[in-house]
Amino acid sequence: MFKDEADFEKVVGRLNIDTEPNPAHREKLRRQMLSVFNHAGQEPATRIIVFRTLRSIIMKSPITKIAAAAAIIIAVSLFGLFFQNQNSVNDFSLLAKAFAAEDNLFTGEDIVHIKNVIIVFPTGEGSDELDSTLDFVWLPMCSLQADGQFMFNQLKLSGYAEPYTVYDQAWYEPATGMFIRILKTDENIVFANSYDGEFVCTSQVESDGTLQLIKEAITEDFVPPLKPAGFLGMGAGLQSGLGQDTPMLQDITDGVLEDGSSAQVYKVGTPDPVGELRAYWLFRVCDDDGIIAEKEFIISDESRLLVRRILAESVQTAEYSWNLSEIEGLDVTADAGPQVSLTPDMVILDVSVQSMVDRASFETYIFAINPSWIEQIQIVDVIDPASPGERMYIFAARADDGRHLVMVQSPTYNKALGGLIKTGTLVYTSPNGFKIWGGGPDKWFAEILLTSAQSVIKDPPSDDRVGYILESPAGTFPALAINGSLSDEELHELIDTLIPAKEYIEE
Amino acid sequence: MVGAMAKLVQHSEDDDLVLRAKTQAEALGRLYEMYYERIFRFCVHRLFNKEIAEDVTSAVFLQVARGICGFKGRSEQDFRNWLYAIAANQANAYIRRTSRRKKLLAEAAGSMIPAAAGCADTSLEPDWPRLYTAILKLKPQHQTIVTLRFFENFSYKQIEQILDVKEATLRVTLHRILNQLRNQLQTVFDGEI
Repeated sequence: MFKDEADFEKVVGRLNIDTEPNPAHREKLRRQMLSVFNHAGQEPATRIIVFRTLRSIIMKSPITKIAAAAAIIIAVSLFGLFFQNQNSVNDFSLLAKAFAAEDNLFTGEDIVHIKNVIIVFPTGEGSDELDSTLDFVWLPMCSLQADGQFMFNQLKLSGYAEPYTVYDQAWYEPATGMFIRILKTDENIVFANSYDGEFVCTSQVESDGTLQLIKEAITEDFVPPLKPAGFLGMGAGLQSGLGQDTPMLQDITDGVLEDGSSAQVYKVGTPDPVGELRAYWLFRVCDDDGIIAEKEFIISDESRLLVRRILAESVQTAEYSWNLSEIEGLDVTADAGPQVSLTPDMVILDVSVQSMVDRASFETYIFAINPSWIEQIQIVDVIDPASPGERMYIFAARADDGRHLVMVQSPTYNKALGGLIKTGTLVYTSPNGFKIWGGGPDKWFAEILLTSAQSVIKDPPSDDRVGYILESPAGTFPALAINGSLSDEELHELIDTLIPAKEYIEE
Repeated sequence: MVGAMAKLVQHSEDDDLVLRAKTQAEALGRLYEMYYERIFRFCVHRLFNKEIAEDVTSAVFLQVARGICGFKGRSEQDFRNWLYAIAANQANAYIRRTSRRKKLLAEAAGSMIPAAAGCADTSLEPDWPRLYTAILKLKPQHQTIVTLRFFENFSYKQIEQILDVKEATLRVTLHRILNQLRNQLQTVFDGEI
């Protein structure tokens, strides 16, 4: 054996270890690295990118519960940007070319027909705690409304013993903007949306589980969507683009599509507080046409959801009438088996305090006085997927000096954050009964909160960001992130102005 | 004197290279050439398997490419410390997962050459798979310290800068690590992998 450090050094020196690198890897990595570098230089601002399967990272430990809870709101940013950037895709974003290439599909004289399959995989035998707690995966699904605005829905795809497929088809006429979109399982239609030049038809789930078609005449100011790929394409919901310098982009590798053609694979996700990437998305962009060919959601190294483009063609006529009220097969109650459903109002932007109070099932708080160092706070109302049937409220405000503010209140946070405060320290008790807890994994969750609100705050999370968990008099746990440091005085002043939203309305 | 001057100039050029690499691909490419082999070797020492080491090396340099614009260091030494810190974190992140650790352990165990009967030297001095097996049973941070100190021949001062651990603490920790390793190796030799 060895006696001391010097002796061990000699032992190691005598080892025969093959550390000869592979020149091919060296060269390939060099190219890849410089490509990443060149793109990163063009996109200085981190942008939010990807919708997350929020429920996917629920685990039993407090730290992963907060991970799940925090990640929930990342979806908001996506939709926020979708609204803002609907017609102005960031030309420098990583996937911008893929989006632009897909936009080109929806041009020309003929009707465009596209068909995607959505394959939901069961939880594998080797699945860990993370995966086994997953009841469903979901995708954002936009439906056009009669006023030309989008409604954001949540397409919920339940877990099942066997893999199953949902077929997503769309027809679009470039000259008129008329379109049809239909999602079907082997048995039933689960979603339908169309515009025939005069009316917008949208399926709606009735209380007995059947779908009914709601037909509405378009309003006077209705304008057909200018970028149909933004809600019919594979890039739907991802219009904000994926910045190369975002921490969520983990890797870009060469890959192969099912038909053997080559692709660039973008791996996107957020590591947990110990640095492990347990849940992430892969986007495969075909080298031949530059279009996103597949997007796949992975949990614990196992695929849970795969969306694949299987057809994009020009046709003379659509398979269904533009007037979807003539469609058959809508009034079918879902059978036992995989449950595929659509939940409306996944995200509602810029809601009022009154609306929040009316819809929230828990005591919500607001800042009675808008802090002087930030602009007006926007409130976003989001579905809380980790607490079915509940809503989550995100406050976001920009600051001129970069110290943007994000605060989140939700039933999931109220359940999950109570345990997490034990990892931090009590930094202040406000006269209004609020306790502020800091430390612990504050930088980690502050990054997630700030990233999630990119659509409002615009800037990437800074190195000196701070996170706090607020313990309210009502026993709720709002989470607060500031994109910079606050003095004790500023922090105290901020928290001291928190009052129940109900009281604010009454005043 | 000439030698000292040459060293000084060389040092300054490398520092400039780091500054230029924040905005110039050519400079980053040169840094890559300077460090690729070192990082790959570090990864092999940490991960045993060359293919896995390639993957982790890729992750390291891609992270560098994404982050160098915001890198605050100004010298080649700063860059080296940053680079090895990334490599250490990436390697630890890879190993942290139990299933991966098991895989590495199994692979190392599979590479072990049975000790020749009656040959005292081979039975008392560990080969690489045996030593790796023992190292992998240490805490990830301790594994990094062993690799940096004995496989990459870094000084305590350099390790202090890379891992942000005080030199005095490092010395004490390393003393304990070697005791642990000695015990682990005994276990490995006894066949309890």
